[in-house]
Formats: sequence, C-alpha cells, structure tokens
Amino acid sequence: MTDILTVEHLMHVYGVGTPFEKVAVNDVSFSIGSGEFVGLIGHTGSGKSTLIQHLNGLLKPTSGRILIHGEDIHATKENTRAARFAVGLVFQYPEHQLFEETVRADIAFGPKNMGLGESEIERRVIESAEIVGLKKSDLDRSPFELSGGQKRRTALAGVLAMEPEVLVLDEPMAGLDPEGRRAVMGYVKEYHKKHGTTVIFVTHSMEDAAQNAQRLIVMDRGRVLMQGTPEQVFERADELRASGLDTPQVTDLFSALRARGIDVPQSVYTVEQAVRCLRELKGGKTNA
Amino acid sequence: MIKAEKVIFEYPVQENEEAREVLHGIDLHVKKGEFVALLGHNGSGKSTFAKLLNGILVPTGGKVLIDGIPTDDEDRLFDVRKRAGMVFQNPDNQIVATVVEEDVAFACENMGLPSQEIRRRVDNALEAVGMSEFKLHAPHMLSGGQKQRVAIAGVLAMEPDVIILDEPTAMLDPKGRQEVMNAITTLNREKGMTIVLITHHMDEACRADRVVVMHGGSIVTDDVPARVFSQVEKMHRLSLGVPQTVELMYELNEGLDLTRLSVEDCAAEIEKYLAKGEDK
Ligand SMILES: Nc1ncnc2c1ncn2[C@@H]1O[C@H](COP(=O)(O)OP(=O)(O)OP(=O)(O)O)[C@@H](O)[C@H]1O
Ligand SMILES: Nc1ncnc2c1ncn2[C@@H]1O[C@H](COP(=O)(O)OP(=O)(O)OP(=O)(O)O)[C@@H](O)[C@H]1O
Ligand SMILES: [Mg+2]
Ligand SMILES: [Mg+2]
Repeated sequence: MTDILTVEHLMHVYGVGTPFEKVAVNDVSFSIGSGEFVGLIGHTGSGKSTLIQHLNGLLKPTSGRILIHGEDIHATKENTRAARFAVGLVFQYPEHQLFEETVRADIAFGPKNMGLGESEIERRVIESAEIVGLKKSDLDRSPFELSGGQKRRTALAGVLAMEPEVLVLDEPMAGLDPEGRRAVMGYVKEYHKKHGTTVIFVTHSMEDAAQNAQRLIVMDRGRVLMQGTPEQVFERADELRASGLDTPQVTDLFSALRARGIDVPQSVYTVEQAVRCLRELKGGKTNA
Repeated sequence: MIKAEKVIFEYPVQENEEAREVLHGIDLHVKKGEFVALLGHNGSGKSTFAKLLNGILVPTGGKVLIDGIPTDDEDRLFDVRKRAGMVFQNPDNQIVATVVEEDVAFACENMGLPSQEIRRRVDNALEAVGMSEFKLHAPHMLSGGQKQRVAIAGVLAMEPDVIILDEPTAMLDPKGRQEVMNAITTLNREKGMTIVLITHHMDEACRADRVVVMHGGSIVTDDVPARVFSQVEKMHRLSLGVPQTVELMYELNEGLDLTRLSVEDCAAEIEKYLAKGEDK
C-alpha cells in the first residue's frame, strides 16, 4: 500500500502572540495508505478538527508539512488548489457548509467549481443524494428548512459529489438517527470499496470506531497518544479512560463477565464478536 | 409541568407552496420532576416540538401549557421562558456574547437577577460542565464539544423548572457525555428538575424514567426504557436502535430477558445462560 497522505511534524498554534495562544496540534506525524479506512478519536479539544482542516489546505501549518502523493500541498498555488479537490472535507457542523438556495444547488456547488459539465454535475448530484438517503423531493427544498440530520446528509452528499481521492469526515454520524448512522457508514464503506477512496473519519462513538475502522489514531491534547488496529487500541482501556475516552459497551460487558469469574477474552469490541464468543463458550461446555 | 394537547404544527410557507404539517396532534403530559427521553428518526419533529415547549414556536393547532401557562400568550412568554430553559441542537445558534462567562450570564441578566447572584450561578454552571478554565475565552474559538458545554452552562445558570436539551451530547467525548448525563441526572434527582432529553444515543435514553418515541410527526411509543428497548424489531422499524447489551442478547436468540438493559444486569443474565445445562 503506497502512502497517499503524509503529515510531517505538524504544529498549529491559534492566536499566536495573544493571551489566548493555544497549541492545538503539537508535532503530529503519521501516514495514511491509499485506500485505508482510518478512524480519528480523541477527547473534545484534542485537536482533531484543527488537524483535519490542514489535510485539504483549509488551515496552514504553523510549522510542519502536509504531503499528498509526496508533494507538499503548500509548495505551489496549483498544489494547494489540487488539494482542495483531492481531499473532500465534511465539517463537524454541516451548517457551516450549506449556503445555496436549494439542496440541489448545494450538492452541485463543488462539482461546479471543479468546472465539470452540466450533465456530469446532474449525474453526480442525483447519485450522491441517493447515496446519503435524501429523497428526490428534498432536492428542491432550502437547506435551511431541513432537520439537523437532513442537513448533515446534504453536506455529505456535496462532498461525495466531488468524488475526492481522500474523504475526510468530521463526526459524520453525530446527529443521525441509529438507522441513519448504519446507513451512512454503510454507504461510505460501499463508496470506499467502489472507488478505492481513502477515508478518514472523526468520531466520539467508540462503538462506531471499533466497528468500522481498519486503523485508529488517538489524539490527546494536540498529540498522537496511540495508533493501531481497534484491538490494539481498545486493549489499552485504562489509558483511553484517562484521556476522556472509553471502550464500547460490549467490551465493558465482557469486563463485567470476567469480574464474575467467567473466562471470556478481553479483546471483544463488537456485538458480532461477542455473540460468536458466547456461542463457542456455551457450545464448548455442552459438548464437554 | 408540561401539557401538550392535540398539538399541530405547520411551518410557514411561501405563497405558491403547499403547507406541510410536521406535527400531527401531539398529546403529552410530563409531570414535575420527571425525566423523559424523546427519540425519533431524523426529521420526525423532535426539535420542532422542543421549540414549542418554550414558546419559540407556537402551535398552529392545539395547546402547549408550561406550569399551566399557555405558550401562545405573548404577555406571558417571559414567564414561560423562565420556567423552561432550552439547549439547542447546534450550540452556534445559541452563542450571543464574545466572552464565555458573559455568554453564560446572558439569560440571568435578562431575568434581572442581582449581579452577585449571577456571579454565583455562572461559576457553578461552568464548574458543573467542566469549563471554568475557559471562562474568559471567546466562545467562537472553542472546539465543538467545548461550545456545547458552554451552551448547557447557560441554561443551568437560569435554574429553570424544566430543561429541554436537544441532542446536548452529540459532539461530546465519552467522558464529557458521562459528565453531562451525570449533571442532568443530579439536577433531576436532587433538585427535582423536570428534564426532556432529545437524543440519538440509546444508552442515554436508558437513564430516563420514560422514553417517548416520535415517528413522522406523531408519538408512537411512550413507556419505561426496559419495555421500549426490549422491542428490538419495532425499534429498528422506527429507524432507532437498542443498547449493545440488548442487541447482544437478541442476537444470541436464546430467550434471554431483553429488559435487562444495564451492563450489570445483562452480565447476570448471560452468566445464568452460560450456567444453564452445565451440570448435565
Ligand atoms: N478558531 C480557534 N481559535 C482559537 N482556538 C481554537 C480555535 N478553534 C479551536 N481552538 C482550540 O484548539 C483546541 C483544539 O480544537 P479542535 O476544534 O481542533 O478540537 P477537536 O478535537 O476537534 O474537539 P471536538 O471533539 O470538541 O470537536 C481547543 O482547545 C480549542 O479551544
Ligand atoms: N424552519 C423550517 N422550515 C420548514 N420546515 C422545517 C423547518 N425546520 C424543520 N422543518 C421540517 O420539519 C420536519 C421536522 O423537523 P425537526 O427539525 O423537528 O426534526 P427532528 O426530529 O429534530 O430531526 P433531527 O433528528 O434530524 O434533528 C422536517 O421534515 C424538517 O424538514
Ligand atoms: Mg472537532
Ligand atoms: Mg432535531
């Protein structure tokens, strides 16, 4: 797997020289492989949103570099412009990214800026609206009349319509109903498979992180606290808790079972694994 | 404390548009001191209903009464707002001042409280949400979750009888969610505050006395958490989910008691299941 995105010694300081000077991202380095599906977790204020706004050049590093395909995105104007389209970013608050008169125009905004033709834009609008589960009849409504979850779907559709190489989602599922969470994650995964898109998603749900990410990066006070597979990360439950995070509820349930003297493994972090494990345990016993 | 009677609501539309009714006759009574969780799919009308509870919107049909005061009586709107505090879905819509502590003090100032009292309440509220160290910061420079805590502090400082929280934990980390949920539970248990919590997190709803589910602008379920969440298929049909404890027992499909929602109860239930037939 070749690296599509590299973050090198990234620092971001807000309000330099003011009394509120704040180091939001502190010497962060990591690489993302092409086609990887990565979860970014961390306590509130740990620097996740600041970090990811660097990935498409929206924020400029105080120091350090962002490389896409090995090229510094701030080296030339062309590189910076290319980064905007190569990396699609869905903001934490979708309101920040909706400004057109209709949902349709909002979704079409990115593709239009890319200079695509009418029919291609139309195709992408229809396809991405469908992907996120917006109804045809929603397309002509004003985005400001939508409910919170509908706004989020619109913002996501607008970014999908740009068909970026890297999709960066800042809490894409916050505010969605459980069905919407399942659906949107399903769609993003399907999209990821179909287009080979690299995905980075920020979440506060340990369940969603465990269920969906191939690799997790954990931020703590501006730094990378740990990274690894969900197993490797959730194994370090105490450190996660000390950092304001948690483990999925099933993992807690399995701790409770162990506390009752039942011999179940520690590394269970999805319901699916839990069911399999309990079946085996039960099966093993009745056969014995 | 809250009485909604046959509440109908339509958003105003442009001339050539057809009116869309988004609430179709909601009946809901919430007693003083109750803790109600309000669930429902995106667009089911939760936020609209919440805004009707403190007079930001008034019903186009039916009535909403807060502590006996009708919300459509303009002369008494202030009395309604003083009793029913609201935390909005997007904290950005709620931020009014340029310094955190002023923002938190805003509603108290409107209520004309003496400045010493305001000071006390603001400090307590910021403490309760763990944002004391940010009191002199600019709200728009905070992270998403920090803004949400400030918005919650603003309502806590009003010390209202009812707090309506519209997805207050959507942007919080697990510890922050835990803290906010503990703060809400404490207000409810110790101060007898009436709580209406809108949430998409099923585990939070489990902590309420009562779970109300909206679907397409109507109330379709109203019961205690254990009974609501043990109906797994129905919850899925309503676009909702169940806590992982219940999901696990349901997926096992061995007749475990699905009303045993909490981690501890569920562990006991699974222990029983594993022990069954062991001595055969
Ligand atoms: N525009 C800004 N000006 C000054 N400081 C800021 C600004 N935006 C964020 N910060 C500060 O930088 C730090 C990191 O914020 P950031 O928004 O990146 O966190 P986050 O991990 O995304 O948090 P959350 O989970 O709450 O969204 C926080 O302490 C925050 O207060
Ligand atoms: N300002 C508005 N003008 C017109 N229609 C609106 C307005 N706000 C909401 N609606 C519509 O009213 C319906 C109910 O919206 P509401 O915001 O109450 O839903 P909700 O249950 O809070 O959803 P969510 O979980 O997504 O926040 C939706 O169909 C929405 O599109
Ligand atoms: Mg953020
Ligand atoms: Mg809402």
